Amino acid sequence: MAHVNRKEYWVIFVVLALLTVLEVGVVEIEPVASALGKTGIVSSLFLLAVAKAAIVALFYMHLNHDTKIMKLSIALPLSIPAVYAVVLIIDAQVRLLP
Amino acid sequence: MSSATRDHEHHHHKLSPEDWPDDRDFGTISAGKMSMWFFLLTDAMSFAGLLLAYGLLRGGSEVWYFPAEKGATMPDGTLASEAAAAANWFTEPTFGIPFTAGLTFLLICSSVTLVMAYANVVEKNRSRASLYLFLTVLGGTLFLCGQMQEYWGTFHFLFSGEHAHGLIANGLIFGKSHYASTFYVVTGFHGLHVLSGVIYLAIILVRNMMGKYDDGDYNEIEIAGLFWHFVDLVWILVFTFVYLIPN
Repeated sequence: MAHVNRKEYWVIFVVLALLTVLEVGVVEIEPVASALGKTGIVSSLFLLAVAKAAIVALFYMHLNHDTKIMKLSIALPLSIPAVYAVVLIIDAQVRLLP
Repeated sequence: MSSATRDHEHHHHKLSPEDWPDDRDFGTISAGKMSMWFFLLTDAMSFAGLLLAYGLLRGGSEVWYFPAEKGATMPDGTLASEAAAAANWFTEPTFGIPFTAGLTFLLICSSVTLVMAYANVVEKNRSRASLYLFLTVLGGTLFLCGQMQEYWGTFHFLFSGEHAHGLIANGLIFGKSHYASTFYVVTGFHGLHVLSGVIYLAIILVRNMMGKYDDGDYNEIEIAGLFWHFVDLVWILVFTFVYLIPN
């Protein structure tokens, strides 16, 4: 079935634009960046990116209108390399510690 | 009509998305849409492999790069040019965040124009759908122009004949460092997707102008939309991991 919600499309557009401004602000606005520190910046950026990607998939790719099994069939295979990546990257950094 | 002809016509009957049988597990998702999702998952694995390689190289390096900008410092406060000399290495340019944030905004704009094109196809408004599809193709094309400017300083060269602009002219050379190679591999692969998307959507635009979707059959534009939004989604991750995470 066709799912058309013009208002929702524009709201999502504004949300994505604002989240992008927030991402740039976290890195480019000096007082914010120093207050957060490197770990804070990386964690915030990671969360913001995942939120934006999920919003695009759910609302623009209409995944929120698909069945639960369909959603799982997409999310599960994607989450495995993401978790694998996080574990390996942390491991690579820990090995660098003095 | 012979039964053979009838069977043949039945075999080639075009199913509109509304006609798809309601599957217990997957609902009324069309075969074409499901196929695009399969493709996108395999494509996502290619990007996952590239981003994982990038993350491992960056996470496992003591120094990712020495910024070439005048007066730039390393995270410990030392001057980047002096730190590079001491390490017997070279400096490389930093990516421009405001410029790339503009490219990110362009892709977000092209995503909203595409869902508006989809809405107009569903509502059988051909001219509006064409307008939004055109704006989407334009957004993708401008993104590619932006990437050319970033790599080669193409527009500086075209308008002033100068060769000094762009990442390559400023010393970001593929193969010279992990910082440079991963950047070109990841953003180049994404750029190829944008180019494919622009061509794909230009074809959808022409088909729409020919009246192929006048019956409100939105299946083709929804499938093309999945591809384009995926390209936007991947860029969100590339922008964060490659451009925004500080040195």
